[in-house]
Amino acid sequence: MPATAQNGVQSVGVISPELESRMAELQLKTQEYGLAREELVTILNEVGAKYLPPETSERERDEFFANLRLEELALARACAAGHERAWEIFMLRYREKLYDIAAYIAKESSAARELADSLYADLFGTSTREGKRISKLTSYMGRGSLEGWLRTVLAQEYVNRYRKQRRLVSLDEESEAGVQFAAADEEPAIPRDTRLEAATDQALALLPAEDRFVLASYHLDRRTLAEIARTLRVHESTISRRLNKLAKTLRKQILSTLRRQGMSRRQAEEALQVDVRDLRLNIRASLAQEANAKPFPDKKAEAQAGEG
Amino acid sequence: MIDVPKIVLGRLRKAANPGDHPDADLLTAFAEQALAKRERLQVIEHLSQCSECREIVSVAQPEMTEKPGSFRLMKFSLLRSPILRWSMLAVCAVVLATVTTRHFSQQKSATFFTPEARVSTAPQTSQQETYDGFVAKLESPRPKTESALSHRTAKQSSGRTVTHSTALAVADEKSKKDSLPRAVPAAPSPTLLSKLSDRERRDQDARDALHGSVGKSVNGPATNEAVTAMNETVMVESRTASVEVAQATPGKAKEEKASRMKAPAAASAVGGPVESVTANKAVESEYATDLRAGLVPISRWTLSPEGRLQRSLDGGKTWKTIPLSSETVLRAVSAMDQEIWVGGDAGALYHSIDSGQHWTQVRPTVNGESLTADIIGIEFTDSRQGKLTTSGHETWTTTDGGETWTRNK
Repeated sequence: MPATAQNGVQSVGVISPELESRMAELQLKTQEYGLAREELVTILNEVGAKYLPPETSERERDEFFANLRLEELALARACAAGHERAWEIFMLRYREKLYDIAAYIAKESSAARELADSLYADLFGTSTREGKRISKLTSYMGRGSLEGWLRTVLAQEYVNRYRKQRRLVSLDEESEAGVQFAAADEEPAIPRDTRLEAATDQALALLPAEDRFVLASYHLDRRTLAEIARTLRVHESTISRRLNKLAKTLRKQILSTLRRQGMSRRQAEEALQVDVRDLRLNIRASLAQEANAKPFPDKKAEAQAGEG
Repeated sequence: MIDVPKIVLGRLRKAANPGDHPDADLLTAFAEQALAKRERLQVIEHLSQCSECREIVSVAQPEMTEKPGSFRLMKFSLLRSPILRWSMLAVCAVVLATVTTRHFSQQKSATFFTPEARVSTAPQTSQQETYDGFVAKLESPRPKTESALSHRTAKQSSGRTVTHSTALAVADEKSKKDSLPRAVPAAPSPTLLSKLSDRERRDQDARDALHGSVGKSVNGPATNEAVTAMNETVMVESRTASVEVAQATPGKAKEEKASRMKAPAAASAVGGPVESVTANKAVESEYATDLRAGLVPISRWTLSPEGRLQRSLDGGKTWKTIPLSSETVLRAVSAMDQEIWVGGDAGALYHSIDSGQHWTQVRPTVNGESLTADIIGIEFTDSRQGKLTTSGHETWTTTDGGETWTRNK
């Protein structure tokens, strides 16, 4: 099927036999939605224009359109167009799921209901533009399942609300939480060796994106092994092994880079292990040790001598 | 978990420069593994730098449902270690091997007291026994044996009857194969006798039940299938007992053993498995009982190479010639309990109903025509129904214990 490039984006162009047969089948299924074939082609062109770069090969494009969730896409677009029958089907299939997903995400019934209702309003399209309802369902492109999309949209909404609430937390609440006089983020008292930072950046840049994702998810986001494994669809022991391997690889590469930059092995290892917080702890420990010593022994001896 | 240097985490945090966020469609397709490789790399590159999108993806994950495979691994965390997995496998193998070894050793000890020993140590025909003493013992009450046992003869291709087992104990081919001679001690140990005693008690109920069904099956093969099913459950006993009633030709014990090994099909001609089980079980138990009481309950019948009828009362150790007719060469013998049929040249046929104490000569006649051909085979399935095979390829059958005969060519 020859590609049709318009303004640097790909469209469905000449429809392949497979896609043609799928569309014919889809038309039969979605006849009750009232979507015409031309409308379906327009939707597919829109999806292709959004996701397919100009350099996409014919095979990739065919694969792309073959992987689209056409039936769910048609339902979503029919709903967005205000088709009653489509809404009935949508409600039947997804309304209960929507609230279940919201309950799972929010972990609290009232918040979950509020979250789901809010999204439901967006899906229905309460706002209008130029006299037309704007439904959030028009942004569904059929790349994943409609249920998964609803889940992601709910998660986005939840995260946005959570962050908004964090930003708008009252001073009283902050005080109760003990963060009213929280210090600003600490800067290292001792500037780090720039060679170490460069070596670390270099080592991180050499890692595959998925490894960096695993590192960030586990060490920065504090996700569990199971959560990361579920996202990547692997077993959690795989994640565990990968994390151990990454830690070893990173250490080895940083040390190697540092030694190439003129550091001895010992210097490189010390540079990698030095941490300002560790230094502070050492100072505290030494202070505590001094506190156990006898107070002013010399002065006490002098006073005793004066009395005598 | 090995810790990552803190500088790494610091740089990882600072390196975040995610750019435009992927839309909900892409994140959904990423979570559902529906993206092409190129798009997946783009999304995961973004995710590695964008904590917000990582959070969205994580929050949007469906509820965790355990797969069957992961359930097993998670529940039995011990199995996660390959060493422990292999160790458990090895332990299972050792336990299995031990159980199997013990089972076979028990089987072996159960078949310890087998008559093959007597067959293999069969003495020469010159050794004689006290025949009268045996008859006195034989006449003593033996209700169980009498009700369960009878004898009949199978014939070898040479025309001489060499095997002799109970009529009900018609060993099938399999049991004959199983009963091949083994090098075992000739005399039972006291331990074995006690074991046999235990087994007798254990088998008593089954034997009683079997006798009930055999009482019907003796008169015809109609109930064979019903009893065959039970045969399998007592295969060990059947094997032991079927060997027990096997008989050797005096002085030719080794030859007989060899012939039995070479031609199990011939042995199978002795009969079906149904009666074999029932009678053999009875023989086994009775034999053990009588052995402890100093009795040898089973007489064994055979024909000497010269065509003389011989009997052993000690399980084949010694054989005594029964003087029937000094001139007639006997060729076939059938023994069912105390009822013995023996036939030979020129239609000579003798019948005893008291284990050979008294003999009657029978002359099979059909329409005034007597049997004159050599009798080369006798098969009696019970005291009334029997069949003679002649050298002229005729079959003479009787259904009334030899009173009347029917000839088939």
